Amino acid sequence: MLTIQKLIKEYRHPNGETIIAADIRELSVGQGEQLALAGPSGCGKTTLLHLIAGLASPTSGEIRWDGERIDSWPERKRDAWRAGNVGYIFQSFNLLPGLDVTENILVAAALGGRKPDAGQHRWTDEMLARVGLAERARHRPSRLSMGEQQRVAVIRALINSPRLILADEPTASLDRDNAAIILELLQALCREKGSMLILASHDRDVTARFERLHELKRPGRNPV
Amino acid sequence: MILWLIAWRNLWAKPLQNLLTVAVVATALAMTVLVMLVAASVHYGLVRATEPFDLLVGAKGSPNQLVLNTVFLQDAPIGNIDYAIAAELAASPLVDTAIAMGFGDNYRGYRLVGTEPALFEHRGKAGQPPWLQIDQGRPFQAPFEAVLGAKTAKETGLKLGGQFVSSHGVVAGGETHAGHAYTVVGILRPVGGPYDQAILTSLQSIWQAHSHEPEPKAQAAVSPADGADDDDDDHDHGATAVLVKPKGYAEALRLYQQFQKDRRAQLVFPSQVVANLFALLGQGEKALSLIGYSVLAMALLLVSFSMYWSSLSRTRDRAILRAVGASWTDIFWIILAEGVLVVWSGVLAGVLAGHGLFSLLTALLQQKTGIAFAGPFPLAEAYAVAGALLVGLLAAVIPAWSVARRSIAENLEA
Repeated sequence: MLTIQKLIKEYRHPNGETIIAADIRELSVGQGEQLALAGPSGCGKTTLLHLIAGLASPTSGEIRWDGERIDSWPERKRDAWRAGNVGYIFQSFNLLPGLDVTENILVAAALGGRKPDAGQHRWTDEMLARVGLAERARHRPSRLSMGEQQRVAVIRALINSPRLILADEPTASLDRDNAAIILELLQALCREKGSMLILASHDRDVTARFERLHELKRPGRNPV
Repeated sequence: MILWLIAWRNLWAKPLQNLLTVAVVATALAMTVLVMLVAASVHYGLVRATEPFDLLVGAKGSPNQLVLNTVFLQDAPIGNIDYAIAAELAASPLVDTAIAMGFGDNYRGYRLVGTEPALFEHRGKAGQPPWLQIDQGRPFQAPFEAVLGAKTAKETGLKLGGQFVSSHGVVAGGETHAGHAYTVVGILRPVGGPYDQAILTSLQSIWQAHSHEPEPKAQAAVSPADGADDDDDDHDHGATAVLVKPKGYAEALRLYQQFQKDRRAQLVFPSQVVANLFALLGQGEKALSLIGYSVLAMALLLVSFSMYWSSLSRTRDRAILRAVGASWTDIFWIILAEGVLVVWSGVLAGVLAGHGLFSLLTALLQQKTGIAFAGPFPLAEAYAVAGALLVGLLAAVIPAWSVARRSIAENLEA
């Protein structure tokens, strides 16, 4: 269970002005639940995902995971938690250019002092076959189309069977057909793994596919 | 393992830039290593070549020339001293052995050394095996019998029983001593010094080859001293140098004092002459070493900056890794591994290139001088290599720390 209360993230602009990047009164998501975060550009969707993943620290408020305040954890503990519990999907795929498709997926299973097991190797092969990329397993990301790269990114996010998947505008760079394929894949895999899915998107067609929608407003004006 | 794989793949993502960095480090270190090796090995080779020569007595003139000619078989002989001096030295209570040597002839550029059979018993130090040892055949006994140095035998193709005719002077092409053919009776084991390219024979052979022959003034070590008559009987009883083994260090000093007053000849300590030469050359060697160190330091500084900027330009890749599960220490180790792989590869390539060039250079020098330049590796090289490895490590640690501690969120694209 993820619960967020009175969460604020502020940035100090070089001109001295304080900018509120995120302001969330309350939010809770249960295990296996799929939630869409909607809202206009600049409403803090990305910042909220960063805060949940522990990639940034909130200015105030709290984020709890199974009752524990993860925002107050030291960086090392947050790193370990993220490595074991969180899968992250970006709008721009963010595959590592030096690694091939299989390595890009398995790297998430190998970081944090772990080693991919035989099951993860097998699962990767099965997933690549399922999304039609079996022949591309040894290709570098630069040789894949954008839709193919995002399919790889989805598989990478799920390699560790994380309890939480954070997806930040995962279809924004894709055409309609590819977007539908990716969303279907992501939602299906999260269901199969029992993972919690929080997806941020400004696209109403995307958010409409989710049973639960959470609207964010521009911070400081109309906090949730 | 995954960290090394990521580091390795990151390096190959920009092969030209990284290979250039490796080349810069390798070139700088190769230069430094080459200078150090050459300095140390030349010193070692020359000093080692002087070991069998405790003291040398020869004609008045340049001590350097006397040593170069007698020990290194280079340069022209100064001139002759009376053989009587060798006899006096042999009878001296201060002297263990005194072996006369005569130079001035060659066969195809390989110098003939007229000497005495006692040379085959001569030892560099007490307890050591004889300096010159017969590998095939026997020592010379009669006039016009010759024993070839190992390299001379190999390069001239002369074998036991083979015959040759010597010529005047110390370089090939002089007037031949027709009618005085030498017979090869022995071949020496390699000594790793100039005498590998010598031809040993008896002094009498040299004297007889020159008897009743008009001598060219230059390059004729067994020619008479200035003003002497070519037909004088004493003419043939000259020697270019006397190799003296004193009974001890104190005796050596007393001999030196005696010869300070002697108008007929000079006595030199070959090792001292070589040391003096090195004292002169040492300034140049120091300057070269300083240049080498400076180039290395500049190269490492350049590489450090290059690595720093390169790592800063790839903060997004690091942020992605953090987002997919890497800890900041993982990022630190990846960047560190990249830096270490580049700089240490450069160091390895530099050491190999330095030693490769050194081997080529010493092979050429050995071919020319016969001196074996291989010696123990200089400690300075170990310091330079260790320094380069350490600086490489530090150059990698700084960007690794800086990038690993950067904010992830601001480097992640939505």
